[in-house]
Amino acid sequence: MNLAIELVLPYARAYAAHAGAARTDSELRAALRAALGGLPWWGALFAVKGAVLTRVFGPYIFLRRPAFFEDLSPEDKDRLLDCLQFQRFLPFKGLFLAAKTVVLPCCYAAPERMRAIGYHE
Amino acid sequence: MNASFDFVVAGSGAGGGAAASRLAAGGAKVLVLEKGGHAEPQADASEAIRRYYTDAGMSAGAGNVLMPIPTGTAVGGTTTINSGTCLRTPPESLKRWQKSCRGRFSASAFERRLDEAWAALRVKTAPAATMSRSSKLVIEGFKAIGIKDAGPLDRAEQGCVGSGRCCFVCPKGAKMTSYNAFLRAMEGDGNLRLAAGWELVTVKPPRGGPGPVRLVIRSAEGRWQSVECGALILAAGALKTPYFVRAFRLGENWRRAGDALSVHPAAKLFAAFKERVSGWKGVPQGAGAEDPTDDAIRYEGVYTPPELAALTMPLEGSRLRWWMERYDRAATFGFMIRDEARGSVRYPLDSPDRPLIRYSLLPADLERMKKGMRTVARAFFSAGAEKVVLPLNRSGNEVTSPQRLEMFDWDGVKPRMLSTMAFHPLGTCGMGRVVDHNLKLGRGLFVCDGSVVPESLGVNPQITIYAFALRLAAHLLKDGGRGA
Repeated sequence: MNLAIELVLPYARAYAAHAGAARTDSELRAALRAALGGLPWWGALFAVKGAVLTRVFGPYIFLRRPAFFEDLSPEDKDRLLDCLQFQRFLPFKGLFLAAKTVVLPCCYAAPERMRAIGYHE
Repeated sequence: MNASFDFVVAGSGAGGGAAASRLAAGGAKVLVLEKGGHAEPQADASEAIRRYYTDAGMSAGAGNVLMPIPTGTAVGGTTTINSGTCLRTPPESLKRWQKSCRGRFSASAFERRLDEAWAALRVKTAPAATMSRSSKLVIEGFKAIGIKDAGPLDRAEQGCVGSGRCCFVCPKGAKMTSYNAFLRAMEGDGNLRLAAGWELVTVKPPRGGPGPVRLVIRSAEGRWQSVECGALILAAGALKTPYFVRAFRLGENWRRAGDALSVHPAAKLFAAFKERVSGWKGVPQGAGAEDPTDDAIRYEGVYTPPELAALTMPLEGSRLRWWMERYDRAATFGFMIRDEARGSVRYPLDSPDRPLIRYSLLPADLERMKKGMRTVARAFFSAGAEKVVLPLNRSGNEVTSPQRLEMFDWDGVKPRMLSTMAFHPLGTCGMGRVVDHNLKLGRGLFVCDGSVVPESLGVNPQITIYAFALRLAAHLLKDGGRGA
């Protein structure tokens, strides 16, 4: 589990920053532990592979940029994420969606986000 | 645990829960196995999905489209995480089943079982006071574009206050799940034993003559037990029941189990309004309508709570961030279609935990999906929406006016672009194909869940499944308890 969290963490950190969510590593680790721990083993495996695909291989495969996700400009990050969201090749898309299930809640389900829109009022 | 029962029911959803309850009330000794535990409300909807959705909500069909198919694993099965909507079985379907069963299935008798289920579930029309603002906006829009019968839906509830969490375990316990409607009342009765956290592992039917069905069951803590019963009722759902039928070669038609999978492909649209919508307040699926020109398309309310919304929007990066920062001004509404495609479910390597679900939309299904999304988008714009997200994974999926909606490249939409889910898996052990008209699979073996429904219904199927269960229970009790 710890290895899985550490593999996903760099992508989650960069994604959170791009989404405008300030998160410390310890907060991200806790959120990832909860998200990965709740998945069946194969779901967690897909999520880890999806995070690695997006962060490490995605920039080169889809943008021809030999860089990590976190090193891309905001515009390129958007382009890469769109490429994967609109992906035709289902295995890539499946992995990307699995990664989303663990990374997005770290950013968009945070209490301050919920408060900002009046949820739970 | 007492190791001998008249009936063991594997699954506690609409089929298993209702059948078990009625059998126990009729004097039979019944054991209900439920792999999941008792569901408890969660503050975070994601946590409810991880705990109570099968495979944490990751079950999906794949073919020309990737399509999550959510089902429940908890006491009450999928009724614990459904929207509670009740729509009667279409009369045309009943007539077809009566004809295909050569009169051994009576449409009028089934209608009476539907009435019985309707009463047990305390079905009532969603009151306007609990309808979400999101649904109210769309209903206004539907009426403006000529869909006049749009209005509140009938729901199985008792004391609903519109918490907006039906699909993530009702926080007030107001939704009439199969547990609330059937099992709870019988749980204290000496005849019914509900084994939550226990699952069926192996089935050994009697061979060559009368005898008990021998089962091995296992608890979540890893305890194993042998059980004997007069008859086994498989009620694990249309995606899991075929595993047992195929793995243990149950019945003469076991090779056909898992085929003919029908689902209701569905999608939802998000719309941004100037005003606050706060769509999480009120019943998410309190309203709906049938398409006036195509009865295979149904429009139904849906609302994704904010903590889950980002996962379900077909957007990424900055565009997703824009929506999430204004999610209090977003309304959502969905639709589903009666599919013409048929898929299959298999369990490679005979592993019960990893289904392989194949499903591809046919061209007619795709056309209906396109029509559904255009209609909901038109209704949103009629209600004053400023921007609508179409459920399509392609660029340009945000449209800002009815004119742009019409100019959208609809001909270029392919199944793989759909951002869709599928609900209500049915048909994998269909009546007349795998089980007989009395849902009998073989000696001492019956099936009672969505898998027996022989065709795609086009309406939420829970009432239909309950009615099948009540019909089976009455048959078994009349038949001396074994139905063999």
